Amino acid sequence: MTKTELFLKKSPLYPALVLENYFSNKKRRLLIRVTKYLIYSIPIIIILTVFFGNINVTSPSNIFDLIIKKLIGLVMVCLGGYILMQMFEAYFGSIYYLEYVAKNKYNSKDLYTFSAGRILIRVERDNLLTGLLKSQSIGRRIIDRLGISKEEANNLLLKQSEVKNPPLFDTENIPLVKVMDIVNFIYDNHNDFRDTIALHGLGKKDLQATVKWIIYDIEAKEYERQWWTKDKLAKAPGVASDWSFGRTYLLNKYSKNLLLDKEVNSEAITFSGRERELNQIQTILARSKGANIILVGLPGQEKMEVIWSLCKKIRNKKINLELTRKKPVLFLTSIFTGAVENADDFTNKLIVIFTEVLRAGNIILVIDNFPRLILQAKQFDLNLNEILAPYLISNEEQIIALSDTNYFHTLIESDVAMMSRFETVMVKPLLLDEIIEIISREALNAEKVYEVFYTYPAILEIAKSAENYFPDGVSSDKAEDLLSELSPWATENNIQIINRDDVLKYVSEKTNIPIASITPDEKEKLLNLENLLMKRVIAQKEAIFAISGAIRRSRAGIRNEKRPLGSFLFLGPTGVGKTETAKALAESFFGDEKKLLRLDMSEYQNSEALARLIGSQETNTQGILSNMLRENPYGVLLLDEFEKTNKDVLNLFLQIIDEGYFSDVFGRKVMARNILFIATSNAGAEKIFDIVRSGKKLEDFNEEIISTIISNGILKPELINRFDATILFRPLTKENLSEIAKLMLKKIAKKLGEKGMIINIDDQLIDFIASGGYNPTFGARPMNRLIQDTVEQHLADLIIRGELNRGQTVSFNVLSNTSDKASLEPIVI
Amino acid sequence: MKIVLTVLGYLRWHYGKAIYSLSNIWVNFLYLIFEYFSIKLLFENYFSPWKRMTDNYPKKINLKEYFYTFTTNLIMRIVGLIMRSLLIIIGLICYVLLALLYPLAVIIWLILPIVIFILIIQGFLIILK
Repeated sequence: MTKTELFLKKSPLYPALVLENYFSNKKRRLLIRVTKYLIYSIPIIIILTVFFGNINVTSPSNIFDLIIKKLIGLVMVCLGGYILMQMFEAYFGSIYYLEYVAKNKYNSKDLYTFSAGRILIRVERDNLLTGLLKSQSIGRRIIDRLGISKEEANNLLLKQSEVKNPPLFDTENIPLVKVMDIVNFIYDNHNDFRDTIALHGLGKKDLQATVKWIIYDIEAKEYERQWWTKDKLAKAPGVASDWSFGRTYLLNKYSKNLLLDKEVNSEAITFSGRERELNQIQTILARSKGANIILVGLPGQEKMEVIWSLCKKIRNKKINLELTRKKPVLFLTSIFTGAVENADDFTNKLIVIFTEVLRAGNIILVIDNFPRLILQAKQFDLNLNEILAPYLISNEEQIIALSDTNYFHTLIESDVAMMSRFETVMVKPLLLDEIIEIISREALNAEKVYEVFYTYPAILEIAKSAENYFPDGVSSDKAEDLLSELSPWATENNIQIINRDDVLKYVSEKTNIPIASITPDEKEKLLNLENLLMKRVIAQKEAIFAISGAIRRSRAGIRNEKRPLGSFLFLGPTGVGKTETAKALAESFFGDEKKLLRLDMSEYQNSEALARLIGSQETNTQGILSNMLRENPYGVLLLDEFEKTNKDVLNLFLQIIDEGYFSDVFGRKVMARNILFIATSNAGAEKIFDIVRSGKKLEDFNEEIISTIISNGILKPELINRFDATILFRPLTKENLSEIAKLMLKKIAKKLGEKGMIINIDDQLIDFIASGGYNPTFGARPMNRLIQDTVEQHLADLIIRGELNRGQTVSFNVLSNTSDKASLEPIVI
Repeated sequence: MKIVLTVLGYLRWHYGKAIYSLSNIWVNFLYLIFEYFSIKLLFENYFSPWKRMTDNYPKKINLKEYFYTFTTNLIMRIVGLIMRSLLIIIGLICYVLLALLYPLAVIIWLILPIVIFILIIQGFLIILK
């Protein structure tokens, strides 16, 4: 006998475990269903046959008599079987204590929990992993949820020849063995198992969360079945619960009874992670005087979730006795403010409503969107605090006002009189682990409706993506929304098992941000990014290599996800390709030159600059930068002449580059984590010229140039250090200029080619453009102008005059090439 | 061996802990009746007016109105009292009936294994005969 078997036998749970080996709960429940139907249907068949079968019961034929007898025998067997299975169910029900859902009733004599026993009984050769892989009811479910395939699991099982002596059997260490203990031991001692789950991008914490999820799922179903418990029976509403309380006629017009909400009544909807807020609320409500609360949270469902949780506690009578008799009512501010006509109407109606609440004696008044009520009062030149004061100080009135965070700070917090009447409870945003717990439970409901299966990595990715790719609102709301959209999407696309990649694919489709696996086409682009960029940008290899590397790091998923895609400071003289590099990147990697967002920072120098970028509450306008990034969450943002903006704006960008987001003036989060920031500046251009002129290597002077910029007070060191890299752009040489001229002329040739005309680009023309279009201060920038004024102008004239047609070739003769006069003569062949 | 152990384990539960559990469930049901008829609340507010439907007494001295208000409020209290008494009586009857059913439930539970045995054996005998 193995150690595991010896250990199992010591517990009083062992007989039940053995029984389950013969009659698993699936089998038991199937038998119950089958026997039940037979018990109902056989007597009906007998009666119907007697009535409609023209059979004379008074003198039944022998065969008929026999059949009836046998059917009665069958009913008796079925009835016996049915009662037996129900008794087994009761047996399990009374032993199957719940670990998470209800109170834990295990004692140390039990040695292990029932779920743990289900795994241990399948263990071979004292190797716990075999038990996990072989137990269908628990172990395999954990394996499936981890996203481990059947083949992987079977391969693991084949490798398990080694005996591992689990220390679990030492009852001094672990008095009651739970599934979590078994799984922790397996993770710590079985390298092959650890490697397998690591292949799926998961660690110990994820494994534990998965175990909790599975056990929760099993126990929640078990708990639902046990209708006879005190908790369940207590939910029945009393017949006379409102006989001793007053009625509210006017309030009913503008409110709803929260106890009737589906969020409160459905067992399927659970809210977790709100205990802190709930405890605070309960303590305040239990006070005899001034039991008023202002519940503050981000815009979204979070505040209501806290209220619903409170209502659930009241309905389930899991709250102190005084509160169980209370009826929470939601005052619908928007309907009320829409219905009132003038100041008198507003005051009178509010007074009636609050008097009704006072007289009713059992109402907790939850005021939705409280700031709206304050603003409406202000519009009527009234002071809401004065109207409500007599009720707010009363002993019998309990009010919970809901407010969004930004309105709370701007409207309420500064009002000392109002604040003195309320206790503030802040709704804290949920942590990632709590969000995972919530959506994993909701996933179970979605699975029933859509017949899909969520793996744990998918759940994890939903929670992470909600935070990283959807900037607006509360993370838990966003994750829930994402989950509710994913299930129907998966059904439409014939995806039954939703894995991490499916979630990424959906998020990619929704946001246009490429986060799903790299496609072959994209792979090609990524590997050749340097070449693609060098086709457009001449002579700036160092910059191109740095950017290409950053893009590849980001796409491979090894970047810091809490920062922007990349951030670069381009330093160099004007017209050497800084802007062109940004444009080339937008076109070659982001697929479209339009993905280049551009801000000329020299326009943001005055004191209103920050308000223009992030919005202004005074003028109620949205910010240019916030709108830009909301509309285009993925692309390149070029900040031209970065050093010219003011200090506040520089500080804003310091935060954005550091944290990957900022909050606009209305308190809404704006994400910049999928943006590549390129700030350009010609600070230090003089020094760069000097270094290049003296024939030294520019790369060796990187730090010197940066310290000059810092010492001249142009940019602060902390800002420069935030950039992923500072890249020096070198002045262009004569050869570079010829290459640029050639590129520009080729662009024109391409356009003409589309019309069937040919332009002859010879050295003479390239030389003309390169030498005439260069200016030491503006670099290659005047080249564009020169091409426009000469080549393009001549071509336009020729086309309009009808002298250049399809199939014809045009060449240019240089007439003069001096700095004050440059002219060409076109020749059409 | 395992089967014998299992059957013994089950029977130990059936005639031991299960009876205790059954009693607990019965207590839960009694509690349900108590809660459903809000008996405690009804006693607490036994003399309160029906659904708090009362008039306020006049602020100025006016005997006629004072008397009118007094009568209305008294009637509301009497209505409340009658309704509460009725519900309390119904509730208590249910409570007692359920309590009386408990011994019967225990007896049924105790003979259930024998009943199952008889049903299955007898059923098979009838089928096979």
